[in-house]
Amino acid sequence: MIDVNTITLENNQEYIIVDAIELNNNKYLILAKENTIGDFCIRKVISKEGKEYIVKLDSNEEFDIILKEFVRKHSGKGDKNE
Amino acid sequence: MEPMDDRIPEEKYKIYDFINTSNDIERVSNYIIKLYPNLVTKFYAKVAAQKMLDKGITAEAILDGSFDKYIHNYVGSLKEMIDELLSTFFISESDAIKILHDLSNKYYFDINDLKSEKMKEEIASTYDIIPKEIKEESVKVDNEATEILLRVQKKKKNARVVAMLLCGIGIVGIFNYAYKEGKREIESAKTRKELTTIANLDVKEGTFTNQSMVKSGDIKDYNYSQIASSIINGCSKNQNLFDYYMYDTYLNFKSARKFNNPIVMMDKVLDELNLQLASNTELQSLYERTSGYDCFLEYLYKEGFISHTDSDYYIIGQDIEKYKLLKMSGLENPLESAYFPKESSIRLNKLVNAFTSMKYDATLFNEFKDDIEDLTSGGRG
Repeated sequence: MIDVNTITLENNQEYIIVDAIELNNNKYLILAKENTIGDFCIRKVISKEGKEYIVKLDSNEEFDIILKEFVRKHSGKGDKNE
Repeated sequence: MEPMDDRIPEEKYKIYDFINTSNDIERVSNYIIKLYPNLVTKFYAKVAAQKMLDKGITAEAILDGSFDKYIHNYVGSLKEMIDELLSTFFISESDAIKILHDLSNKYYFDINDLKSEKMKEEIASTYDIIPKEIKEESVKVDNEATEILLRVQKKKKNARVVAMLLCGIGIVGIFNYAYKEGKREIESAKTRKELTTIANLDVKEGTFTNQSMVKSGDIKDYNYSQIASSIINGCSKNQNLFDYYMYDTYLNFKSARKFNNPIVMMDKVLDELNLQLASNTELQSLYERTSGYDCFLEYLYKEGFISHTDSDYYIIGQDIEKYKLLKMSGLENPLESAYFPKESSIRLNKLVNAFTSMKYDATLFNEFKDDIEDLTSGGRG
């Protein structure tokens, strides 16, 4: 067993924080449910009044960008920008 | 027997001092704990014991069961408080019991105390847990955006599961990226030769791959229907089970859309796939008999990334249908290939190699290494 960070989303479901991505001055969390490969989501972290909140992404394009960055980060290759 | 008032009407958060516990209190409290071992703390049991004794009830009368009903009502109030915590905070039942146990070592409080705002705030602050009411206050109606206060909890999780999650997300990510890149390249390809070249590149290079794409016809007729057909054909004929997994993965991904992560451009392809799948009984049958995760595990075995030599492995494909599937896939010794090691038998190096071959950095698993090595220490065949 290992220590992982988890959060609970608005659906009362627990998600493991698989990874954190920083891009364009934003911080994103890659969240996955423990026993369901393929059931994951990406949320953004914002700061307000000294506290951090997680919010949904602004667009599908943002999702694609972050997911691509996740793959690039773990691929061990150079930048694969289009 | 008259109903008893077991509330403390005047004082809140009263601290009980049981330093000079009488023998009767000790005996009665032990009796209460024996009746409800997992629910009543020693402290609460002593409080209940003292209150009954203060009423003039003898310890002997309590111990012979004459006041079990009172004790039952008393314990029921504890259960009520557990339910109150569960409805107030995002916690599990075991956490709720722990909180009550902790607090009961310091105070006596009843259900009405627990419902007070003061106590809720104290509990939320002390245990760093999320009150459901606070969550609602943080909701901002702004383009249907929802803000959730970021509260991170540390949990113990199975290292292999976490590793698989990483891989699964990565695979989806590669597929998502690869499909779009592949589609863009395919649509821009001017000749059959270019199309063939594109289709021969594999997933490692981040390009959509499907061997049957080389058989695509005139690119001028290229459309979503053809993409769907080629994917289905590829899944039916390609011996590489990894394709099965990818097919299964993005179909499963449909269920994740509710969390704001749709692959919008896959919609049309998926529609076509659904239409064509309905008429493709072979693929449908294959898909129904296995899961994407199983296929992925089989892929790892086929490529030699996991071993099956230990006798304590358990079988994935015990039923005849899966055996047939594995045989159809061309795997040697399909019964052996159906074995997947228990988590204690995964070979770290090969697992790392698996992810490395998919271009995942092996250092990704450094933080899991010690735990996984412990898991694998008994499984090296």
